[in-house]
Amino acid sequence: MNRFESGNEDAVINFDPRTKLMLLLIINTVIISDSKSPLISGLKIVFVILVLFFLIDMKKIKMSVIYVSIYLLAVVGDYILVSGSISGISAGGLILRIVVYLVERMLPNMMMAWFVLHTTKVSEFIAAMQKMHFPQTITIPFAIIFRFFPTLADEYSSIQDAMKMRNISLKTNVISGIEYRMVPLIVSVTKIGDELSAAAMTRGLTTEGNRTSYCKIGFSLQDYAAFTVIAISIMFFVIGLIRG
Amino acid sequence: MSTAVKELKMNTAVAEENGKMTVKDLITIGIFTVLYFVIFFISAMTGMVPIMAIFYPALIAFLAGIPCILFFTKVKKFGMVTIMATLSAVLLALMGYGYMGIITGLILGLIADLILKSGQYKSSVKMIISYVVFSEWVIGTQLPMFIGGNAYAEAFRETQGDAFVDELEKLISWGMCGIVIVTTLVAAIIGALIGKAVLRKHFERAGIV
Repeated sequence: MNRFESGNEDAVINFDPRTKLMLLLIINTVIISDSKSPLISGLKIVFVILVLFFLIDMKKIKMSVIYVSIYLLAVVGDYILVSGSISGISAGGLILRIVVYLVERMLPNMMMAWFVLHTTKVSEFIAAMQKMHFPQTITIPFAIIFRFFPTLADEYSSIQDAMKMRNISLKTNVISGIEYRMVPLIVSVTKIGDELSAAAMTRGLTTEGNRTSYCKIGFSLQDYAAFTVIAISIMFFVIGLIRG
Repeated sequence: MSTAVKELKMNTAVAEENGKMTVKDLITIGIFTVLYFVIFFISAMTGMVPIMAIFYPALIAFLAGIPCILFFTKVKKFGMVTIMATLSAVLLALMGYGYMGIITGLILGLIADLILKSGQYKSSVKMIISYVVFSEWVIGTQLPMFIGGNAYAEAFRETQGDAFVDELEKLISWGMCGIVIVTTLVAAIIGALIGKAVLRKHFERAGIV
């Protein structure tokens, strides 16, 4: 339960976990809003570029390129749909709409969430939540949730391989296909949960009282800069919503 | 035995007796929230088809039966279902399913917890009833649609297309909301029964209940 996954040691950006959570929240809220206000559209572009900047800072060049290309393709798709060269009711137009909608609303959020997951250690996250006076009943499930998505994907792909070897496919028999995927997945996930509980105990999570942490949590100049950006963004977002 | 280990065991024992949640319970909540979230997300994707944009709560209630019934058998403390429902709702609000779900998640999670508690966390029937109540929270993610009516659907004309919006407008009404609640109820009962059967067939044998 050490790191969510290995981060980059020589990255320029080194935010406090609280700052990252705030950024995640504001970027999410803005990107999923359906408002057509020009102010909010501008804000969306700024955030898309900001997320790109975070990815580049992590030295994930390949990922950044893929992210930007998919997003730009979606923008082009959006433009084609608005210009009306493809009918929105035709099958092609409908599929294009769905893809564009998903990419524009989800991709930047997912990339931001990925950035937060890959640059935050679990112990940093727990220490930060404790500083914000969140009770353990919220902190621990949240930490588990964040840590678990990659694990779940790994487990599922192994099970998928095993089922392929046994010729149990979702296409031939949906019911047994679902059963033979879900049951092993749940079994392995519960086993991992037991292991995590043991690990948590050795780390002293079960004891009462405030924990001390090896991780240094605190705001630096970077964090204050980020907070300024967040404050300005909230202002723009609210003005955009009011003006419509 | 060192004093630290003794103390730890005592703490855990005290927590068990008080009915306070232990870290193990919290980890269980986290794991099953993830499983539930994934099932929710896959099912809700079918909402791209107008009819499923109305009926996805039923699909979720049906598919989530297996993991949720296993989770409910692991629940032995008051509040675990509430936390799970609320956390799922918060995660889904972040994905764009609206903030109304957090309220329904909190309220219905609490009721589900109360039902489980009234059965001393042992009664199978209470467990199924509790799961049915819990499943209905998903309607909360649709409430903005039923409250806003056609104005809500119009907002999607740009992004989702005319065909989608026209179909959706035909479907939105409070009567439809009632139908969704009933279908979700039925689907949840079926899902819970399947969950029970799978529990007996696989999980009890594997010793993970």
